[in-house]
Amino acid sequence: MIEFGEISLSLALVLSLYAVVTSFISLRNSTFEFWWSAKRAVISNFLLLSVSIGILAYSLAIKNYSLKYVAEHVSNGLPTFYAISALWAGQSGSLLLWAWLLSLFTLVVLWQNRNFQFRLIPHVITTLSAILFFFLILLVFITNPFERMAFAVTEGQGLNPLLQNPGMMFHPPTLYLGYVGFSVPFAFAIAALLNRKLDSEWIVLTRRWTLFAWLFLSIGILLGAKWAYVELGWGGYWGWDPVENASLMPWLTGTAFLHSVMIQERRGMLKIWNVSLIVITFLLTIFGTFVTRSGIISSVHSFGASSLGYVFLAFLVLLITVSVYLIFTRREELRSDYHFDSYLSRESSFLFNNLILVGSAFAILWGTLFPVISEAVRGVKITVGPPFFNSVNVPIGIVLILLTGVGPLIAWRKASTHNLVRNFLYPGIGFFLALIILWFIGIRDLYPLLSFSLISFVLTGIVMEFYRGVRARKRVEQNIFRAFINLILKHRRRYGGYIVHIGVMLIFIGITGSSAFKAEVEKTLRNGETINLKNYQLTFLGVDYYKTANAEVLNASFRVKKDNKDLGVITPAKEYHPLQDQTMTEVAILSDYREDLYLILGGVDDDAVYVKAHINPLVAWIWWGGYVLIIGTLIAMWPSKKREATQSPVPKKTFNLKKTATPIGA
Amino acid sequence: MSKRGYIIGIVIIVVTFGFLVMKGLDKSMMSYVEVSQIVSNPDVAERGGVLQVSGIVQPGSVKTYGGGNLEFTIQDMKNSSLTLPVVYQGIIPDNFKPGLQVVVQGRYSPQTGKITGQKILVKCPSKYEADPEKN
Repeated sequence: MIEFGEISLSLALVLSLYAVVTSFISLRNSTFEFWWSAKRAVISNFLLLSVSIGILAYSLAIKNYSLKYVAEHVSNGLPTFYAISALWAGQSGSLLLWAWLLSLFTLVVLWQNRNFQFRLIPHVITTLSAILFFFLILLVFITNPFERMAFAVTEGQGLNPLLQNPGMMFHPPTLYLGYVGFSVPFAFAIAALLNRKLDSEWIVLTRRWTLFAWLFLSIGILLGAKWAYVELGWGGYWGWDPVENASLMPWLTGTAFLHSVMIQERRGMLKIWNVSLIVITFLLTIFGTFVTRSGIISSVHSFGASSLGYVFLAFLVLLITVSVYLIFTRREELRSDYHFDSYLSRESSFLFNNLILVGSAFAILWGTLFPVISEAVRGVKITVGPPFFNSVNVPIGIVLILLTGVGPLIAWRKASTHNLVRNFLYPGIGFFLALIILWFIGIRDLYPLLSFSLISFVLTGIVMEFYRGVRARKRVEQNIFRAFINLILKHRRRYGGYIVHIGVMLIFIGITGSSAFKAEVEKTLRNGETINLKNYQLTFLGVDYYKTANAEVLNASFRVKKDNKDLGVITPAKEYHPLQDQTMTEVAILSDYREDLYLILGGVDDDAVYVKAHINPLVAWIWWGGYVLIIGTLIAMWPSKKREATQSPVPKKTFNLKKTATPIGA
Repeated sequence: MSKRGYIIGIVIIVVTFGFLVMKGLDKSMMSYVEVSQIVSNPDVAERGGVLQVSGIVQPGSVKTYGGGNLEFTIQDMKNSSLTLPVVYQGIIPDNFKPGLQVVVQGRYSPQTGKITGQKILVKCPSKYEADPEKN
C-alpha cells in the first residue's frame, strides 16, 4: 500500500509540471484543449496527493514502523489522535501537508472560477502549479515521507512530548493554512502582471482569500504564543525566536496589504505597492518555511539541518528574480490613476500605516538575518537578542495603534476641519481621559501611558462609529438590538473590520500590561516556607511522586493566597519521559482578567524545591483579543449577496477565452 | 499636494527606522564564540561584556546544588581537551543534558577563568526532530 503513496507523489510531480505548461499555453494561444487538460491535471493532483497524505496518516495511525517517518515520530503508547498529528511533526510530513493544502486550494480556485470569473485564471493555475511542483521536487527527491526502514523495529521513537498538547497539535496546520493561503493572491497578482491587466480585479477576487490566509496566520501565531506560554515554561509568550519572527513578518506585510488594497479599490492608487506587498508577503511565507528547515539560523524550532536549505534558497532567488522582472517591466501600467490630495486623508494614513508595518517587518528581518550576514561579511559571529526587537518594535507598535485610530475615521481625499472635529473630538477626549486616569493611578512610564491612552483613543472611535451607525439604523428598525445586528450584517466588511480592530487593541492591552508591569522572583523553599510576590503569597506544601503510562511525574504543591484570600492549591510539576529521555516542566498558571500567576518548578533537592514565580499582568486579554479578532474577520469575510459600497465599481465582466471555451465545467 | 512632501515624509520614516535599528543593535548584540576562542584569547571576552559561548556539556561534569545552583564544564565542539568551567543559578532548561550542545550566555572572567551564566540555551538539534546522525 505504501507504494501507492510513493507512486502518487511521483505522478503528482509530473502532472504539476504538465499543468504548468498546459495552463500557460492555453491562455497564450487561447487553446481550449490545453486548458481542459490542465484542469484535469489539477484535479488529479489533488486526488493523488490525497492518496499520499491519506496513506501516510493511516500508516501513522496503525503505526506501521516499516516507514522511517512513522518509526521516528510515533510510539506504541501514543494515542491515535496524536499519532495522526505526527503528520506535521516532522519535515517530510509537514511538507506533504503543505503540498496537499496547495493542491486543495488550487482546486478551489479553479472551481470558484469555473465560468472564467477571472479571465486570466489559466495563469493563476500556472503559478500555483509551479509552486506545487517545487514542493513536490522536495518531497520526491530530497525528503521523501515514504522512505522505508532498513531494518524492522517494533517500537518507534515517539512523538516529542512537547508536541503532545492540543494547542500544539493545531498550531502548525493553522500556520500552514495561512502560509499556503497567501499563495492564492500571489498567483493572481502574477497572472495580472504576466498579462498586464493591472486594475483592481485581481484584488477584489482574492480579498476573501487574503482574509482567510491572514485569519489563519493570526490564529497560528496566537496558538504558538499560547503554547510557548503554557508549555515551554519560561514565563513568556513571545521570545523573538527566528521562527516566531518568520511567522510574524508575513503577518505584518499581509496586514499592510489588507489595508492598502482598499486604497487601490477605491482610488486606483498604490498599484505597484500592492503588487509588491503581496509578492513580499508570499516570499516571506516561503522564507519562513526555509528558516525552519535550513538550519541557517539557530532556533528552538529548526528541523535537523539538511540540504533542503539550498533548494529553498534557489527557489527564493528564482521567485525574487521573476517577480522583480515582472514588476519592473510593467511599471508603466502600474501607475496610479489618481494622486494624493492631502496629507490629512485616509489614503495618507493608510500609506503611513503601510510604511510602518513594512518597516517593522524589515527591522525584524534585519535582526533575524544580522547574525548570518555578520558572519558572512565580517567573519564574526554575533547574536541579536530580544532587546533589539523590543526597542525597535515598541515605538512602532505605539505609532501603529495611533494609526489604527486615525485610519477608519479620517475622510478620503482631504479631511476638512469639520470632518476632523466631528470624528476626532470624542476619541481625543477618550485619549486624554485615559491619560489622566492612568497618571492618577500612578503609571508614569512613557510607553505604557501612551499605549493605553492611544488604545482608549482607538476604542472610543470604534464605539462612536457603532453608536452613530445604530442611531442611523434605528429609524428603520424596531429596537436597538436589531439595529445593531443589522448594522453589522449589512456592512460586514466595515464593521467586521472594526471588530478586528477591537480584537487587536485587546491584544495590545495584554502585550503592554504583561511587558511593562511584570514581576518575578526566584527562590529555594523548604516545607511550609512562603514566598511573597506583589500581593500574592505562595506556601510550599510538599512534593508528590507518581508514575503515569508515559511519564514519571514530580508534583510540588503550593497554597496560593492573594490579599490574604485563599485561592486554593496549584501544582507545578516536572515530568520525565523515559522513551524520549526528556524532562518536561509543567508550569502552573492561575489566570484572571487582571493578571496571571505563573509558577515554574525549577528543581527538587532533598526536601527543598527551587521555584520561579511570575506575575504577568493582563495576559488573558491577548487570548480574548484573539477570539474577537477571529469573530471580526469571519464577519468581514462572510460572503454577502449584495456588493458593498466600499468595494470598487469594478465592472463585473465574464470573459470567455474563445467561443469554444464557453461550456467548460470544472 | 506635492510629491516632494511625501518623499520627505518617507525619508523621515526610513531614517527613524534606521536610527531605531542601529540603536537597538548596539544594545543587544552579543558576541557568539566557541570555547576554543576564549581559551586561546581571553581578551575576546573582555571587550563585549556579556557574550554567548557555544560548546558541549562535558559528560560527568554536571553538579547541582540546592537553590537552583548548577556547575558544569563546557568543552569545545571540535577539541574536547579545551574546556571552561561554568557557574549558573536559575531555572535549568528541560533538555539540558551532558553531551549535548549548549549556548551559555553570560560573562567570562579572565581572573577566575570561569563563565558566570545568566542564561542557558540548549541547542538540541531540533525540538521537532531527532538528530539525523543519532538514528
